[in-house]
Amino acid sequence: MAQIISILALGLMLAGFGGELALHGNPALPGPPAVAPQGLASAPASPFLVCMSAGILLFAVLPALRVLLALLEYARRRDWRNVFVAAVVLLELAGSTQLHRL
Amino acid sequence: MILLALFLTGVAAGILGAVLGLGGGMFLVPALTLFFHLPVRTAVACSIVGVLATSAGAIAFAPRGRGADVELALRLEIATTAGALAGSLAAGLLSSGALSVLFAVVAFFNAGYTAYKARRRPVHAPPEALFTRDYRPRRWGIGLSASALAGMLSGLLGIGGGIIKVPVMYSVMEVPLGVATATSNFMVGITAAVSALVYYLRGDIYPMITIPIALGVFAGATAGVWLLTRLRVGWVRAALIGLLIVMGVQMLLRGFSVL
Repeated sequence: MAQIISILALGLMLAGFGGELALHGNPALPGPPAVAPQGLASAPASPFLVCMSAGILLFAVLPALRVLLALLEYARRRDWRNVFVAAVVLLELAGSTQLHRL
Repeated sequence: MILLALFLTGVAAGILGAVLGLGGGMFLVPALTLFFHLPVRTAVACSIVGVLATSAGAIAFAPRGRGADVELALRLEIATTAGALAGSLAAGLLSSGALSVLFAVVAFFNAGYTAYKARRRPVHAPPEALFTRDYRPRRWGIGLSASALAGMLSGLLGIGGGIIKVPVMYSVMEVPLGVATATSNFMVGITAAVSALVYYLRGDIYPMITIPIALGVFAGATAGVWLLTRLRVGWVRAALIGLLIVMGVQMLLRGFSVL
C-alpha cells in the first residue's frame, strides 16, 4: 500500500514537472509555491502545479500512513501493546502538527 | 542545467542518507545554500521533502529481510517526538550555543563508543552481519533517553536525529548496523512529515526546485539501499564515525561562535 502511494506520489511529481518543463522550456526559478491543500481541486493554478503539489502532499502524509498501516496490522494480529504504541505515535504526530500551528 | 545539478545533488544526498540512516537533510541544507544560493528557509523546506524522499525510497524498495524494525522504530519514535515537542517548547529557554556544545559532546561520545565497541570484538569472532533477524534490542532505557535527546536537539537545532539514533541503536542497543540505519530511515520520515506539512501550509515549498531534489534523493536512496546490502559493516561504521567527528567539530565551533 505504502509502496503504491510512493509510486503514485512520484508519478504525480514527474508528470507535473515534465508538463511544466514542456510548457515553459526553461522556467524561472524558484517558480510559484505549492498549491494549498484546500485549493488542489478548485485552484485556478496550472494543472501541472496542482499535480506537483499533490505529489509532495502525498509524500508528506506517507509516514503517518505507514504508522496507521502498522497499527492496523498489529490490531489484526491482536498485538494490543504495539497497537497502543502506534496509536501514541499517531497522536503525537497530530499533536505536533497542531502545536506548530500555534 | 540548474535542474540537473539539483537532481544530482539529491542523488548524492539520497545515497549517503540511506546508507548511513541520516535522512540526507544534513547534506542538503549546506549544499543548497552554499552552491545554489537558496535562502535558508527554502533550503530547509527542500531538505525536509528530501528527507521524506530518502525515507520513502529506503523503505519502499528495501529487499526482503533488509528493512526497518518497525516495532523498534515506533517505540523509539514515541520518545523522539516527545523530545522534539519539548525541544520546540524549550527553544526560547536554552541558548543555541550551549545546545550545540551538548550535541558535539554526544557526537564525540557516540563516535568514541562505537569505535571502542568495534575494537573490543574478539579477534576470532564470526564476521559481523549488517542485517540479521537474530537479535534482541537491549538497554531500552538508554535507547529511549537517547531518542528523546535526539528529538529535542532536532527540535532545537533543526538537525535530523539519525546521527544520534543510529550509533545508539547499534552500539548501545546492539541492533545490527544495517537494521539500525533502515530503522532510522523509517523514523526520520515520521519526524520530517510534521515539519513538511507546516512548511507546505506556510507556502515555503517551491515545487520547481523541490521536485528535482526529491526525485534525485528518491533515486539515490533506492540505490543506497541496494548498496547497503553489498557494503561491509566496517566501511559503514568508519563512515559513521568519521561523520560523527566532523559534525561534532562543526557543532563545537558553532557553539563557541566560531562558525
